[in-house]
Amino acid sequence: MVLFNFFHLMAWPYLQSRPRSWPAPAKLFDPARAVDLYGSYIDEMALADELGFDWVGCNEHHFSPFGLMASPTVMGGALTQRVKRARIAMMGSIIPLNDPVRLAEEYAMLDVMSGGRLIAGMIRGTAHEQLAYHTNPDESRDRYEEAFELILKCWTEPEPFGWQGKYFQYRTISIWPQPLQKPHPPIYIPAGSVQSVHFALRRRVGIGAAFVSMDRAKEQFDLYRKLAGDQGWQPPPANFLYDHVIHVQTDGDAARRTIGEATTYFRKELLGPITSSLEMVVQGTKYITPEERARRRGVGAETMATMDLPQQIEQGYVSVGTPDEVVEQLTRVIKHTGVGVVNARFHVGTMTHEQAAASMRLFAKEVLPRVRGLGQQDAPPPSPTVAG
Amino acid sequence: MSVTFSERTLRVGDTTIAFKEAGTGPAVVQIHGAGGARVTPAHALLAERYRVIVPELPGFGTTPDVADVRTARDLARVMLTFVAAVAPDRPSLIGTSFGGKVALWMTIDAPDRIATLILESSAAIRPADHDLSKIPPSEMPARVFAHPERVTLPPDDPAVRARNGAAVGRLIGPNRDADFERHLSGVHVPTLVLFGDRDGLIPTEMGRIYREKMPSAQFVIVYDAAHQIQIDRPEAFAEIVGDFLERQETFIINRSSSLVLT
Repeated sequence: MVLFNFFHLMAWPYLQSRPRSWPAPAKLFDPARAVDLYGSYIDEMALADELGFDWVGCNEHHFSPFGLMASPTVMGGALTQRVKRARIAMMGSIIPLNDPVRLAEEYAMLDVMSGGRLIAGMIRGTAHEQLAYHTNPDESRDRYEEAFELILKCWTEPEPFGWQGKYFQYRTISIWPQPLQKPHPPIYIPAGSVQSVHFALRRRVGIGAAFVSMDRAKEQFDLYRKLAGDQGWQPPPANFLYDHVIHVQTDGDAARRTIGEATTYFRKELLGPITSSLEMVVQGTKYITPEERARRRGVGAETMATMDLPQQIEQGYVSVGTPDEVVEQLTRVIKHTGVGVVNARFHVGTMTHEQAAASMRLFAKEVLPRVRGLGQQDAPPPSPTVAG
Repeated sequence: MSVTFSERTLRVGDTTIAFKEAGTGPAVVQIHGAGGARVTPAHALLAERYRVIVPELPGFGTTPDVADVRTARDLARVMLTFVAAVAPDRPSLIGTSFGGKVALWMTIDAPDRIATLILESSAAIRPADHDLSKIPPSEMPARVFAHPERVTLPPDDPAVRARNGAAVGRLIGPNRDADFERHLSGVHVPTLVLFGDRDGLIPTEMGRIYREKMPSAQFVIVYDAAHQIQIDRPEAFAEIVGDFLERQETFIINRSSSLVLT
């Protein structure tokens, strides 16, 4: 069983001129146009729910047209009232940037408000996001790991407690509400590095790979599977999530034209300006260790930004075309990576609501039934085992 | 660590208790666990503000047994006598692991004579099926220390270790000691209960039981520490203990400035 997360970046599609770099000047944003934009984006999340997508996904980005969810939990709150069946995936709040107790509270609220449908993504954030709240990228991993443990304690400790941490100090905590899912909602973390894979495995939580080729994703998943196997544990496919762009039309060439234009905007206008700030952090700090930098050379977002569409399809970033073509491309990605959750991005760049919605409907009717059963037979989302 | 601990002895009844001492200010007496009477980096930090006293309990190390000491409560009575002599002006106690039970009995039996109680990785309450003898010795270091590289003192003589272990086994009482636990609701001495988040000997979750049962207990989890919090995170231990000794339950109010620049 393969699950589909309808993941939305909620990008700003109306840029008249390309920002030089990140952060993008706020003057390029038009609040009046954003009113309808948010409305139609939320409609798409609700549509995904009606069409049978398994999850709907939110994320956190700052200071740029790349994504308009500065706070994914605000969006999550809206979704609890519109999305009736699918799980609500926070993929998610950027842990080192935020107060961990506040995040524990907000996620717990979402879990209760959604009747226990929260997927708790614990994200470290793209490198340049560390600049948004002026946190030191060198400390980001340590802060992340400590906040992760603290959030779990917030969800599982029944008595008031204090936290004498390295980066966080609280004298008394007792969060209300507590999550509905016990011991806590399923957790996913991004696992681009070997270190993150080890961290995820220690807690047996799901891992995700985004903005990387399917070969690279498979490498990370295989490492997790191998280390888990060494411990005598076989992780379910649902422990592995892979980010993927999907666009379907009855006319395959029209589909490729649409996605070509939309992804060009995405790569040039949205991703492009970010890369210099991202590289500044990556090159100038310990956000990613030198070993990891060497290991990842030529596989990151900056590579994707220069790739043409056939290359993107070949390397597993995108499935596009007729339903038959998309079934074939997706099947290849799913079988190659062994992924159990496809982080499906349908609304890309300048695509209109109508284009995205039509693609979603066709996908749900003609593709979803044919790819759902791919992969190993398997259980529901990863059962959390990290209590206390 | 510029503080120097001096070694002294005190006659208590028909035994002699050796102790180490440094610093001036309100007295803080360390009631040790199976690890014995050791001066830690955390003690040195606390000695900058407090008079820190680290006695060796009778029956441990090289200190002779005291006749008629059969339980932790008996030992607590002996230590109350020691404390009355060495620090008559309402000292505070740090009870570590097994010492947590002794310090709690001292507090239960003489609440007016104890200012503040700190419980570090207290072994006074343990899971019903708890059995340390089932832990392979090879696993012990990782269960006791999150940061074994921070251990500065050499390991004890095996004979001393065996004697300490035997004394704890004899005195500590059952995992869940109903007679002991029923007293906890009557303890009003301000108490700080500390557990490392990685304690491999006594589960961190035991801390919540004190919070539940004792009206004046605060439970704080020390991140990145195992059983020996004073070794794993000396600064973190000394900071929170110092703050609690000074301010008790009002230590939940943040009094440090977040002003960036004027």
